[in-house]
Formats: sequence, structure tokens, C-alpha cells
Amino acid sequence: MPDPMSAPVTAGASIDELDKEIEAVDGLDYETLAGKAQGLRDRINRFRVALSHYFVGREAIIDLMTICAVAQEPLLLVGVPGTAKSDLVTKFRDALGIPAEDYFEYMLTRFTEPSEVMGPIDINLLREGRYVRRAQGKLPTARMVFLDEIFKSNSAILNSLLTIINERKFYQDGQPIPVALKILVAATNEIPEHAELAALKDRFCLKIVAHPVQDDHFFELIDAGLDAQTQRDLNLQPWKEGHASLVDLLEAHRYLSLQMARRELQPDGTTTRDRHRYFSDELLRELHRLLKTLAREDGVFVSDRKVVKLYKLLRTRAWLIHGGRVEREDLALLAYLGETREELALLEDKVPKLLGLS
Amino acid sequence: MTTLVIDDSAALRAALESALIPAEVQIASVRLDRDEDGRLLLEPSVAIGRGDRRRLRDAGVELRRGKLRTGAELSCWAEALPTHAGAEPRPPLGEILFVSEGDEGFLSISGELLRLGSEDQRLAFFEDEEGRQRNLCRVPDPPYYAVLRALDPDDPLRAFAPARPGGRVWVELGHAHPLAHRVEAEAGQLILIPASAPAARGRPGETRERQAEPSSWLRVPDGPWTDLHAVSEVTLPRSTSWTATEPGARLSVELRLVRAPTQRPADLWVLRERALEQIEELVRTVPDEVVAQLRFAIVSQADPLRGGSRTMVVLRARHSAKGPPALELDAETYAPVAQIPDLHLPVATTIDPPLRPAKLRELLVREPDKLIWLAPEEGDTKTEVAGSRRRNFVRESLAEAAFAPLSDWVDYLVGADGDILEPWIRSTIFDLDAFVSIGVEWSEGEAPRRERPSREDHERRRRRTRERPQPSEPAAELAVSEAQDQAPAEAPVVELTPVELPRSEIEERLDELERSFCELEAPLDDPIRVPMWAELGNLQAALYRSREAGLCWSRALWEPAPKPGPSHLELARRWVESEAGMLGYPRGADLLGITDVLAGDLDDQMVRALAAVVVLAEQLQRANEEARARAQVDMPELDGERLAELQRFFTAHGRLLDLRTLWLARSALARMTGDDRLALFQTRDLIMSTLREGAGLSRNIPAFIRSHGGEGPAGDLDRLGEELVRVRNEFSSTRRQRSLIESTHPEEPTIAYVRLVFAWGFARLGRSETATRELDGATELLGTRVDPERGDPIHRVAYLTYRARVQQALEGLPPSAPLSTDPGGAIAAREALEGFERYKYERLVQLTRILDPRQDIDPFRNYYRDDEPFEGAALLTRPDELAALFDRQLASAEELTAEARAAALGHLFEYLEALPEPLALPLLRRGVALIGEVPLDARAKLLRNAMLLAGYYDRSELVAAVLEVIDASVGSALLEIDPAGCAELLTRSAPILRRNNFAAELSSLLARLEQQLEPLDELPAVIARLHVAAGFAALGEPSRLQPALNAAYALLPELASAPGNYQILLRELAVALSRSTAGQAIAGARSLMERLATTTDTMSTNSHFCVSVIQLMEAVVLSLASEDLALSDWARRWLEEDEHLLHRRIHRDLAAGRG
Repeated sequence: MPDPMSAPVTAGASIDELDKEIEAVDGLDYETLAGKAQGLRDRINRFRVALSHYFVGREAIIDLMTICAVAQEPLLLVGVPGTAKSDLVTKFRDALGIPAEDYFEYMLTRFTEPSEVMGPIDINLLREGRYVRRAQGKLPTARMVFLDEIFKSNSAILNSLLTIINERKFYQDGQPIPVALKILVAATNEIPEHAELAALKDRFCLKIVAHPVQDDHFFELIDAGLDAQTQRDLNLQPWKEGHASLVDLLEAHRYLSLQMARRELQPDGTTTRDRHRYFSDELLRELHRLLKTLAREDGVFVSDRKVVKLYKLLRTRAWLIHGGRVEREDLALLAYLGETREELALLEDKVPKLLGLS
Repeated sequence: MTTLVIDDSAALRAALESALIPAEVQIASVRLDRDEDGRLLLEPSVAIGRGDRRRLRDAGVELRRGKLRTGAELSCWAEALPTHAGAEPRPPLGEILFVSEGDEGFLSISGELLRLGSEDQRLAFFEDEEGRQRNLCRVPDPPYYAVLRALDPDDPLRAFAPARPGGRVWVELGHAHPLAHRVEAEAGQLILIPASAPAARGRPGETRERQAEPSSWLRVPDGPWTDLHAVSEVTLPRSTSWTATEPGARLSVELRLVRAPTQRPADLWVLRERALEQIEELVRTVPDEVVAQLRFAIVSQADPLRGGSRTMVVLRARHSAKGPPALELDAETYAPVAQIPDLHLPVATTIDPPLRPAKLRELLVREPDKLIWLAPEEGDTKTEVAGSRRRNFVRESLAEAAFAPLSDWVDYLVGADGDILEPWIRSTIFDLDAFVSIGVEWSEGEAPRRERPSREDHERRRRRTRERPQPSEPAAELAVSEAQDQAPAEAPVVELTPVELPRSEIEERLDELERSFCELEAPLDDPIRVPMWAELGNLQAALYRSREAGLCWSRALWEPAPKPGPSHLELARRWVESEAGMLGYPRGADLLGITDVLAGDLDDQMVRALAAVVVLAEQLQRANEEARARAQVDMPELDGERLAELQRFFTAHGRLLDLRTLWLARSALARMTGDDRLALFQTRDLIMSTLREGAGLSRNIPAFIRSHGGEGPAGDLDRLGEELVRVRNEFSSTRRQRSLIESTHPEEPTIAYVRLVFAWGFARLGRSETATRELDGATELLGTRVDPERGDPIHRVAYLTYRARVQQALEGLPPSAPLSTDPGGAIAAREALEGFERYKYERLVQLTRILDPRQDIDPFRNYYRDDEPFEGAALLTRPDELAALFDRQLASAEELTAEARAAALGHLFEYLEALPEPLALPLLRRGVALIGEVPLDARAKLLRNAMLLAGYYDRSELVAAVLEVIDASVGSALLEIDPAGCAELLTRSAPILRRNNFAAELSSLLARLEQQLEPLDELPAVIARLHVAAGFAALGEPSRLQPALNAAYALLPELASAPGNYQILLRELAVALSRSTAGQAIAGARSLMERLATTTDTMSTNSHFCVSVIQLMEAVVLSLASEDLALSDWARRWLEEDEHLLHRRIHRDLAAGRG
């Protein structure tokens, strides 16, 4: 019987062992996972809280990264250079003990070619008339991906990314091949308004702005910055505390997915669904009211696809943060629904105000 | 009792609306039930008459005998109709009434509203028949989030909107009741109409409406209403109690000089070594125009190193549009500090720490009339802080009076002329009185006392040097010098620069002449200026600047001809020649053919040329044979028919002229046709009303006058233009909260009209390209709406009128220029509008000043008014009889009623100008004495006219008499009746009072008025305060405008619920801002723009445009698009004087040109 309080895979585990662990997750049934759920939740929360000690004023971003990682939804970090966006992703990956073979990171530019991200074309196979990419070590084979300056990429890459995020597939010689992707984080300095980027922007249900923290945490920033510098110079990685692993996140995801899919037949013949169990009617009506107000008063339009994803994310947050039904404070997640910098700034201020949380 | 059987609610509604069921029955109670077929059974409580019963039967209504035993008792028949669901309401929603139950309900909704910013809640609490607590909460424009709760059928909270704005009948939000707008609630009662619930008994085939069952109406008391704060407890944080004290230590600050990030050019040079030698060298080497720009002072200062004293020179450049010259001197160079022109710092340095200018002035510029510079201390121990050198300094100063023009002490001689070489050497010996310095502070003395050569000496010397062949002769010679030197009676010929010179040379001469003209310290009507105006006109004409030339020529002819000097005949001849030259006519007489040019081909240049011909013709008619022969003018005699044709021509096209040329032409014609007094009075009124509304500076004032002085008005115009661009961008990017009614109509037409307003603004600021772009953009937005064939008539007339106004602005016409009466023009289109269409268009016109700035002004009202015409109008050419009439009226004034006395005085002041001064003055005195006895509401206007007349006559004692009456009136109830009129009276009198040395009295009156206007919480007081502030601005205190503007800004949001007052204040604000400074106007426009996001209305005009938005944006554009804002103080004073001269000449002509 494994200890529920420790992560099953340590940072030193080989990629083969990890592959096996991950494959095993797909075979776990709901009852088994329900037995492990509390342990999983504790470990992931320890990981979340511990990681935030290595940053100043980044708790909200780390929480959101964790929620998105469990829900397997992509997350977009928005912020000017020097607001620790890359550092957050790197330490997040280190702390989960994701090996290099399972991690892909790339800074996109207008001139980035698909082969740099998806893998080069196999020349030998091309001679035989097959169009196959050597994807090993590139985006299709990585379980965690970080794409910096994502909106600067060209249309060839954009199209491939849309398919990967949407369908979790990429095409080899015309055949769809599943990608390994579980966690996707992207970063950008600005959110451009070009129409051709609208589809990609919509794929990121949540976007969070990394604000400079020096105004509010000047002294802490200097202390933390110096610590980080020392750790870099001495090649120390204290954030690799092994509180949780990628497998924990995947198991949590499977547990929540199975839970959300459950339906229970009641003695009176009615069916109880997930929302009946985890979302009060009153709160659902409040969510509806919030979305309507944002649309009517501020023109913040939330697509139907996003509403469903939002439900999933709210449930994930509720499970992770307080372990039960969705509560009013979980609705604060709506503050990250904006599509532009202006909308993000507006929602950051308005959503807590509407909910009476500010 | 009869029971009516009606098929369904649709049939019932038809019966109610068509009055098939009589009104007295409808308002009485009724019992309602349904039969087994779902039909409505209605038992009225009031008997239905036989005739009505027959009509009901004819309409198919079944009437049964007997009473209903079941069913519900309804208060009126309308209650039997169900509500129907409407579209989801969109914000802004106006006032909403929330109904909640119990304390929990009240706390929940009021708390949420307060949290979301709706503090303005009116609450009422009741207990219903069943003992439940019902809470009513009225909130204007509540947050949508709270409204959505009330729309949720599962939430107990309900919301109601008024069926009619301000009414007492409210319908549940999101629903409509077909007859709600006709229902009246009793006083002190509210009727709440809840949404109908679907009927429990639904049968297949029934319509949805038939299935809906009406809900019982709620009749609740209308109050008492309490404020939210009366039922809430606010927890305050712990308060502190601090007492004032003094700091234990004082901060010691040492001022130093440090390197400045930017560099201004030097305009002050302090020559400490070889000073006089360097000046000699400078004079020898630089062009004379540079020397003319320099002033200098010689200073003797004790030399601590060598002992004795050393001579130093301080050289200073005059302010010039081109900037100071660059001089190669071994000298310390200084530049003025920004905003403190009399304090200079070493070039490329600034003062550290950077104190605000007012503080620097207080510390360093202690004495007025002194020039101060901060000299770096010699042998200074420089300290290095963060790479910048900090240096100590010594404050040195010198009296302004110590400076003398460098050019006065220099004579230019030709080097080859050996005989005069000696005087030249002597002339560069600066025999000024020495200044003796004591210590660091330079002693101040008077200007060099060497007697300045008299003007004659100076001119003689200039002439002497001109007589010799000299290559460096100044390019332009002032015509005034020539004119003064000529024998007066013998040869009154204007010697003008030949116009065949190269363009660059003419421009150079023009520049110099303009500068001399502006710097000339002589009154505007000084005869010395007449030949200068002529030369300016001549040079402008040589450059083909027709309008500018015309403005100069008309001024050359405005004042009586100087003696000695060129005669008016001679000046008019030259004017006609230059006009003919510009238009390419071989002879001046040919210009008479312009009367035959088609109206569409006419432009202002042609009309001006013809005006010049008329002026010349009149001068010729007046001149004696000898003068006529000398003038050698080839001009045919103008016969009666020709004169009548010219009268008609100028009546139709005179509007294209500037005011002076118009008056010259019309007065000349009046004299030639035998003194047409009525036409002259009409022209006077036209000119006066144009002046009141803003005459258009570019059309009436020469450009060099407008651009002279200050920082360069082009800079201010640019600032205003840039601000207008910014405002336009802000308008495009602002998302307004549109009212429910406005949002049901497209926004493009409103945007298009706002763009037309912008086009007008850009045109007024001289940005013709941007204006044209905006005009095109608006035309495109309106699209087929303004198509002559298929378009909408309202859009067409609004568009045509706006376009015409933009085009007039592009042509520099005054804002109130008349519109074209062509068949396809704006006026024709307007006249084609009828009924509701006409109403909608006129609603727009009522709120705009651009479409029709003179909507309440008719310059000819005196001649066409409905009441009894003034009998004196027929005596305008018979001054003795007119004077006798006035005399009789004044003598009998005692017996007249107060109103009749006011009318008599009104006539007197209106037509007094028709009398010669000796006759007019005693009448004016008597009239002024009577003003105090007329009704208060007529007094302000009479006082204004009396003050203007006293000003025209230049009679200080009369001005004082009028001022006395004003003083007494301001103290009386006049202020309470008409505070704005009172303040406007003082403001309009300001120039006259200032000219007559009553500035102090005016200032004290304004201060008194200002004090009496407190508190500024009502519209009349705020408007009056704006006028008072304008009066202070006219006295040179523009800073006092800001508090008045602030009061107006503060009041504006409060008036939003009273559209009429809001519009008045918005208009007054725009006028005040357009007369303030560029900075104030920009700040004001920004403040007004803050209102844009919430500006909307629910008027019926929304079908075509949202007038509130157009009006707001017009106020913003009017604030910025004013040429007045770009004028320097000098130019403003000049304009004031210029307007006085305009009035004076008109008055003189009217008084002198009788019979």
C-alpha cells in the first residue's frame, strides 16, 4: 500500500518508469481514485503552497497554473518582460519532477518554422513518399509544454497549435496521432487584436496578468531575487521538494473527470447529475447572472465552449481549494475570462466587486 | 345586472381601446370569471347604458342577465388584461422600483445596490394584510447585476419600471401591459402591475396570451420614502485627534546651478573682458537687422583682482518671432527661465533643486523692472553629484531702464567716404553715463542720458544716409516718413513700393513694415498709421493676398485723412488699382462689370474690388475739380440706375465682405444716393449683431495682427487643433451607455452629425484638410439617407445645413453668415419639412449654435415688429424734428407708465445716433437720468445701450453717470431678477469703462456682484458668475475664470435631469471657455468629455439623431474652435481698440451724414 502522503514518482525516476506510471493512471477506476482523492488533494495543495514561497506575490498565478494543470486546460500568462513568467513555469515543472524528455519549451517568433516546434521531416521516409516528422523531443511528445510569445508565431504554427490544443492530435503522413500533452502554459507580452488570432485566444479559457510586484512588495522582491540568484549560482533547486508529481495531477484529473461524468438515479426516477451534487441552484443562477452582466454592461462575451470549460475549472478549483461543493468565492475565477488587456483589467476589478469579495 | 361575455383578452383589449366599453365603466371595479370554454365573464359595477349595450351587441359581445357568484373582484377593467413578456431590458434602465419581502429581502437588495455604487435609494416599508413586511426601494439606473436578480423567476425579489416616465403606475420589469400607459393612479398611491402567470387550465389550440392569467394589481401607498442612510448604520473607523504644531527643525536648501537637459538660445550676453572693443567689432560685422534687435547697457564694476573698476557691457536681444540672434562673443551667455522672462540662467543650466516658477520668482526676482541673471561664482568649488556639476552662483541684476537700443548709437557709413569716416568713429564711442557697481549687486541707474536724437534728427540722418549710394540700406522704408516730409497741400501722393520687385524682397519689406507697425507706440487712430496701412495694402496686393490687402486698405480709409498726408481720394485710387491688378482688369472702371457676374461665380475678392470702386466713386464725387484732375481717375459718373443696382448688389452679397469694407461701401452708396438713412441703420444693426456673435477674426483682422505678440499664437492654435484631434479620437473610442429608446435606432447618423460638428471645428481652426476629411466621413456614414431622391427629408436638411456651415467656416465667413436660399439649398429643404418632421429638425436647431447661432436674434426686428412702429423712424433724415420728438417724449416721461417710459428710452438710445452730437448729448444725459425709473427687467438692456453711446461719444462724465445707475441697480433687486443680465451688462461695459479710467470702479462692482452671487448652487447664479469672471478677464485677471468654470462643472451633473437648464448651462460654458485661455479651454473640453459615456436621451428625435450627444460634442468643439483663444494679450487689446474705432466711425457717419 503506497503512502498517500508522498508522491509516487520522485524527481530521479527514469522516463520509462514515468511512462509506466502514467499509463497505469488510465486503468484506475473511480472507486480506487476516490480512495486516493484526499491524499492527492493534500499533496497537490502542499506543492502549490510550497512553490509560492519561492515567488513574491504570485500565489494567484500558481493556484491558477495548478487548477489548469489538473483540469488539463491551457493557461495564458500575460505580462511585460521581467514579471517572472518563464521562471514560474520552469520551477513549476521542476517541482513536479517532470523530466527533460517530457518537457518542451520554445520562444516563438514570426520566423519560427513548424519543424522547430513539431519536429523536422524525416528525409529518408520522405524519399519513400511519406511525410513524417521526427517528433521525439518536440512538442508532440512532451507532456508539459511552455510556449513563450505564442502570438508572435506564424500561421503555419498557429494552425498546428489549434489542432493540438483542441483535439490533442497532430498529423503524421496524413494520419492523426495523439500527442502526449497534458499541461500547456503559454506566455505573451501583449494580447494582439488581429482577427486571425481570435481562434487561438479562445482556446485559452483563462488568462492571467502577471503584474509587476515592486510597488507592493519591494523589500520582499529584493530578498527573493537575491535568494534566486544565489540558488542559480550554486546550482541549487530547493523548490524540488517532491510534494506532488505529474502522476498526482493526472490521477486528480481522472478522478474529477469520472466524478463529473457520474449520474445517479434517484428513487423518484429523476437523475442526479454533477451540478446537482456540487453546485447549488442559487450559485448556478448567480454564475448565469454574472456572465449576463458582463456581457450586457461591458460587452465581455463568453462563448458556449468556454462556459462548459469554466464549469470544469470551477469544479476543479472547488475540489482543490476546499474539497467540496463550489462556493461563491470560486466564482472569482471569472476574473480571468477576458480576451484583451482592457477586459482583463476590467474583470480583475469588477468580478470581485459584483461578488462582494473585494 | 348585466354580465358581458367576451371571447378572449384580445377582444377585451379591443373593446377597451375602442371605447366600446364606456370610459366611466372602464374605471370602475369589475368582477371577472371564466366560463367552461375559457371565455371571459365580466360583471361591471356600473350600469351600462342602453345605447352602449346595443353597440356591444352589434360588435358581437354576448350580454347575459344575472350576477356572477364566483370570480375575482378587480379594481378596473384594465386589470383583466394580462401582461405580456417583452425583450430582456438593457441598461441604462432609468428609475426602477424593487419590491422585496422581510428584513432579509431589504438587507439583501439594499446591501447589494450599495456595494455596486447605488447609494441613491429611496425606501418605504409596509406591512400587508397578511402581516408580511413589504419593502419598496426606488433606485435610478440600478446596476444590471441587481436587476438580473429581479428578472430571475426563482428569486423572490421583483422589479418594476414606470409605465410612463415620472408616473405612478409601474409594470414588472421585462413585461408590458397593453393599457398601462392609460391607467392613472390616485394621488398618494402607486399601482404595481405584476407579470401575469400562465393559466393552470391550458387547453390545446389556445393561444399563449389566452393562457396567461392576469395577476392582481398591487395598490401601495406612495411613500413616505426615506433615505438609505436613515435606516443604515455606518461603522466608522477609529478617529484620531491631531493638533497643529511646528517642526522642530527647518530644512536648509542651497540653490545651485546644474546642467539642464535641454538648451534654450542665449538672449543675454554679459561681456566682462574687452567689452567695448567687442561691441565695436560686433557692430562692424553683423547685419543691421541684428543690431536693431539688440539693446545694451554699460556697467562699471569694482575689480577686486586688479583694483579700480572695469567696464562691462550687458547685451540683450529683443523678443522676436525668429528668436534671438547667435552672436560670436567672448561673453557669458544667458537664457531666460521658462515662465520667468526677467530671470536669466547661464545657457544649458538649470536651478537645482527644481523649485516651482512662483517660488523661484519670489526668491530671486524680488524687484520688478529689473533684469536678473545668475552668474556662476568665480573660483567656485564645484561639487560632483551623480555625474552632474553643481555650481554656486551670484545673483546679479540691472534695471530695465538701463538698456538702450544699440542701433540708436550707430550710424552706418560707406567705407569709401573718407570725409565722414571721422564721425563714424566717434559714433561708436559709447558716451553713456557710467554705472558704478557696489559689491556683487550691480548698481542701477537710469538709461544712458545722452540726449536721444529727435524723430526729425533721426529721420534726417536716415535720409542723409539714404541719399548716398549704399548697398546696406534697409529694405523697406516706411511710407510714413515720406508722407511726413512732403509738403502737405501740394502733393498728397502716396509713395508706395513698386510691386515689380522679386517676391522675396516684397515679403522681406512686408515683414519689416509689419514689425514696425506693431512696435509703433502710437494709438491705432494716429494719422501716422494711415500711410503705413496703405503701404501694407500695397505690399499684400503685390503678393496677391487679396483679403489681407483689403483689410489694410479699408483701415487706411477708415479714419479722417491725415493732414499733411495722402487724401482719401488718392488712397481709394490706389486701392482700386491694386484690386484691378489682382483680378487682372486693365482699368479700375472695368470692375463695375462685376455687378453682372452670376451669383455662383462671385467670390469675396470680386465683391471687395467693387466695394473699392464704390468708395472711390464717392470720393470723386466729393472732391473738387482740382483734386479730381490731379487724381487722374478714369471713372464714369454713377447714375441713379447704376447706384440702385449697386445697392441691390451689396444687399445680396455684402455678407462676403469684412465689416469695415462693408460699412465703407454701404455708407458711400448711402451718401451718393442722397443719404439712405434706413439702409445705413440696417447695415449698422447687421454689423453689431455680427460683432456680438463673433465676427470671424480671419475675415476681419489682418493676419500679422492676430499673430503678433506672445509665445506665438500659431503654437496655441496648434495646441487647440491637436486637442480637437484628441477629442475626436476619444469620441470614436468612447462607448456610450445608450438609453433603451436610443439603442433601438442606429448610431451612425448621430456619429455622422458629430463628425460634421468636428468638421466645423477643424475648419474654424484652419485645418481645412482634416475638416474636409471629417465632412467626407460624415457624408459616407449618412449614405443614402441624404440622397436627394430617396433620402430622408430630416437627414437631408440637417446634413445640408451642417455642410453649408462647414463650408462657410472653410471660407472664413462669420458663424452667423446667412445660408443660401437656392432651390436645392438648406433653407429650401427646411421649408419643405412639415409637421412632426419639422418639429424633429427644429428640436435639433434649438439645441445647437452651429446650425443657427442667431436663432433668437433678428437684426431687422426693429423694422418689422408687430407692435406700433416708432414714429421717429420716418424722421431719420430730419434731425431737428427727430430731436424735438425725443425732447417731447422725455418731457412727458413723468406721465408715462413705467413700461411706456422704458419703450421711449429704448427708442431714444436706438436712434440717438441719427442726431448730431450737440443735439444728442443733452438728450442722452436726460435719458440716462431716467433709467433708474424704468422696470427692473428692462433696465439691463437700456443701461447697456446707454453705456455704448456714452463710449462712442467719449464722454467720461456720461460714462460715470451710467455707471452710477448701474451701481445703484446692482445693489437693488435687479440682481435678484436678472443676475445673468446684470453680470453681462458689466462685462460688456468693461472695455468702455477701462478706456475711461473706471477700471477700479468696475473691479469693485464685479467683486460686489461676485460676493452677492454666493452660494453658486443655482443656474442663474452660476451663469452670472461666468459673466462676472469674463468681466474680470477683460480687466486682465483671466485666472478668476477658473472658479466660475468649476462651479459650472459642478452644477452640470445636477442639471442632467432638467434638460432645459442643462442645455442653457452647457451653452454658456462653451461660450465662456471659447473666451478663456487655451489652457482653460482644453481643460474645460476634457471635463465636458467626461460626460460623454453617460450622455443619452429618450427623446423622439432619436429616430434620426441623439440630440444630447450632438449638443455635448458641439459644446466641446465650440470651446476649442475659437480663434480668440490663440490671441496674445497684445492682440486682444488691439482688437478691443479696433472694435472701438469701428463703432466710432459708424457712429460718426450716422451722426454726420444727415440731410
